[in-house]
Amino acid sequence: MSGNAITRRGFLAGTAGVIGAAGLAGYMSFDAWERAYADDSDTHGTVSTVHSTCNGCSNKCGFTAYVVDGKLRKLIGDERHPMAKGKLCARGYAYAEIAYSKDRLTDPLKKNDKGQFEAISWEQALSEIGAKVQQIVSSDGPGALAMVQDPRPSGSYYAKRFMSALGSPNVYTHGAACYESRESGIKQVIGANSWTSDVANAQMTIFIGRSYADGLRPSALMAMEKAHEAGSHIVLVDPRFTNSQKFADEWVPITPGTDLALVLALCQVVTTEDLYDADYVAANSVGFDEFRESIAQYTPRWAAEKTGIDETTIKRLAHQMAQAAPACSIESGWRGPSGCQYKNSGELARAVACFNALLGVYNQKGGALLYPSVSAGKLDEGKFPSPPKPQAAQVGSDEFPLAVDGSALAAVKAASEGSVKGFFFYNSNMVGGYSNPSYLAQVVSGCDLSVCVDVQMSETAAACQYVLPDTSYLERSELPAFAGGAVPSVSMRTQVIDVVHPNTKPVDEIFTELAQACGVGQYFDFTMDELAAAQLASVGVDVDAARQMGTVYFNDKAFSYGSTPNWKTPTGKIQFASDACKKAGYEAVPSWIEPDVMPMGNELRLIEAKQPIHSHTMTANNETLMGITKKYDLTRAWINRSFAENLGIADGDTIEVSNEKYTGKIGVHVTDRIVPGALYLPSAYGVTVEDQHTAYGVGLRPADFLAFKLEPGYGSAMAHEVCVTVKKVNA
Amino acid sequence: MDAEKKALVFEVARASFAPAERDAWIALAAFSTWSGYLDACSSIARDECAVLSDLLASGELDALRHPLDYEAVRSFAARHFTGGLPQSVVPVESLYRTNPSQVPAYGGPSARYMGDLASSMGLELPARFASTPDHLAVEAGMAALLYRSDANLADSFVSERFTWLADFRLALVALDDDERMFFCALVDVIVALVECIRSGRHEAVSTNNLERK
Ligand code: SF4
Repeated sequence: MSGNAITRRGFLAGTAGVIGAAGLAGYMSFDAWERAYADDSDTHGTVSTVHSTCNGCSNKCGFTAYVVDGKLRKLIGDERHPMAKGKLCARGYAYAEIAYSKDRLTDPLKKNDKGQFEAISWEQALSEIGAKVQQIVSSDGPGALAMVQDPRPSGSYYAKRFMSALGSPNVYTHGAACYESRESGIKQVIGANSWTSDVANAQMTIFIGRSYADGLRPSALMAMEKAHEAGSHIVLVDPRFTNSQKFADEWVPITPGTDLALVLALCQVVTTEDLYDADYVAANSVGFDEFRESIAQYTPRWAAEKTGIDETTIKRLAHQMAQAAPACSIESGWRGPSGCQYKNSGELARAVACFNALLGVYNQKGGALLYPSVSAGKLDEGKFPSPPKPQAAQVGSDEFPLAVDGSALAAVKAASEGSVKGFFFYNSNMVGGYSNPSYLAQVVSGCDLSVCVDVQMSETAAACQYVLPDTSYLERSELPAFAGGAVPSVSMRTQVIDVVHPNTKPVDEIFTELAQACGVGQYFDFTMDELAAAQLASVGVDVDAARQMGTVYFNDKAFSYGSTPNWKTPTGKIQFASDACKKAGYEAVPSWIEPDVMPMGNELRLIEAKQPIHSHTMTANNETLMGITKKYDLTRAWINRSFAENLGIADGDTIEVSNEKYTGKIGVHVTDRIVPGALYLPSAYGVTVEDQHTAYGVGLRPADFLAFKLEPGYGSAMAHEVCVTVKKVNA
Repeated sequence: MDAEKKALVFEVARASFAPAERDAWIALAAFSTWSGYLDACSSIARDECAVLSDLLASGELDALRHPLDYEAVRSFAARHFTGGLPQSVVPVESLYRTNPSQVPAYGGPSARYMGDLASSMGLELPARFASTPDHLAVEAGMAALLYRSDANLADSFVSERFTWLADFRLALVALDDDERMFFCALVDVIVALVECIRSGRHEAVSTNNLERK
């Protein structure tokens, strides 16, 4: 019988051509149905609730989904989830629309001779990709394959296992365009990738280029609000007056690219004035003498010239912090100046970690907390055999040895030189913004094999030869998501609605089938449910109970204040001086490095940052969120009032932003809330794939102005090392 | 109108917009079957659908004279009846009929209605359409079934259901693809038929009202 035929339930094909009297009695017109049900959908039908997790950004906030007759009706943030604490952000609600989006990919796609995508069967896609992978492995070895994935619970596990099974160590995240320098720099100092500032209990917290109200995490913003109400002194160092200012006491405008100078000077004040915790430093660190000697040169006066912050303010901030210690910290930052934006991002991260060490704030109430975490234990090797550890070194590890997660952009560089021949992408839009998009597209499309797994056509998918359609996060269950925290926890993403498009598959199935097609299926001879159950059992949690509760806490592993962290550095101590950094071409102690570019004359440094309603371009195609963008004209570039007046530019004008890479037009917001010398563009816009009907052509994409160049030693994108000029359109 | 002929018109639409199945398509495109379809169109036009008659006379439906071969139908569907591409025209009602304040998305009221309708009539939808029961193939299949079971209900269903095809046709005709006119013509037949049924029903209601007076 045809797979397209409508049948009478329980009857054979031969009787399918006619509906019997009982069936006809069930007929209702649309009009009658609408009157009976359409406006009443919450009160008729079967209601079920499911705990799951959001995919609107990497916080993965927990929620309870209310489903009526199979259709998602309502989401409520889970009180018990450590990131959500009962609240979701606007993205969390709106992003759920992706499941039913008009622009969903519904079938595997392959580019034809004309470069246009055509739907193909899964069998064809898998067998062709499998054959190509085997060809690359036999001609160039598994090290010629690379994978970039934006970490999600199942994706991280399956993508890595798939690549390991093939023998390739080249698995990367979006880190090079986000957190790579920060985590790598911090690791050099304290042996951990990050800390959590105990903002809610602090007397004082300094944020450098990090805005909790823009790069949103509900629980973090709540902590900031609580601190503000309790009288904690909150300082925002930023070239822009951000949305977090509502919860802060002070905005310290800074020349972008010079945050390192400020922190070096803060270190200088507390060391030269003996305001640091000498006992703590003596007990916990190495390299302090060398650090103290070097830091002496970075006086507040010197830093004032670099940063545009007056000397008195720098000294006052250092004094206030020393006074508040140990109930204070410089927050670790996110995708800010220490994350990936400057040539000195890694050094900034090191300097910040050193400053906190000087004040002895690690694991102190109100300080910088190194939270415990829990991860899955060892699993039964018979059922879940581990693939052999890949032999080759990760591509990029020689040139960027400090990068803790490796640099996806180093793999791009290798592909441009011909040593990486096949690229896989999972839930990653590398081409759309990790660096210059047209350059990245050119490299990816020039590879022998390029495969993208996603839910909608991204710039990355558009550059690939094959696109495999993923189910949305609401249509699949995933592996447990372990999270560190004051009390470590594990949360579950559980399927909320039925699969909307039957020819899409969840990520675990896609990688399992890819592995089978590539001849390494023996490492995937289990289901995701079996693996989830085994992972949870290894830490004493029952999978059904976990899915039922949404989040389970490991109370026996709870954090307590006052403990001395286990410094996981090569020396077992806080490292004010690092041999690895020296080997990578840096000074052993954090030192001043000039930004790669400095605006001259009428040039402006292009800076970009998140808005609270978007997760970069990932949410740009969402009609509801884009509706907010349009209503409040949020695509506008910001420039400083005095600079604008000199060029005859008024608020609301259209300007042309230009450099040697790109020229584009955009409305302008003329404001005192940005320092002179900088032009701000939000990071969510400028999507260039027509397939995203809502996002296409709206606003400018900052990465288009960027040249492909990488931070020495760390391999990050240096996203703010770019200058532009502006002029009024029709002036 | 002859209900069986209308059933055939919708049966052909169902087969053309559903994922193409080689054997079924070859059987449908065989001379005898296809000429049966063309005869059905002519006969409906001649007997009671002036709009369709005009269309046939104008030559606008000439693309239907020779059915596309299986490969052409398959490849057209592969380029256009798949989601997420600039040249996607997925034939699902929810994507075309929305009120201006609504975002076109899968699973709209038409999908919920079609799902409820099928289940209240004890009909089982093909698994591939479980979440898109307002796919043109399903709606056309439902119309064909109804015409073979109760022509009045079928007319009611058809006159309510297929008005979205006008927007769908606009999307189809805008495609950069030589084969689009075949699919446009299939849609044109239904649109014409719906128009005739709607005006016929309108006349019937008016006459009824007069008689009552
Ligand atoms: S912060 Fe917002 S978008 Fe991110 S996971 Fe939480 S609710 Fe979702």
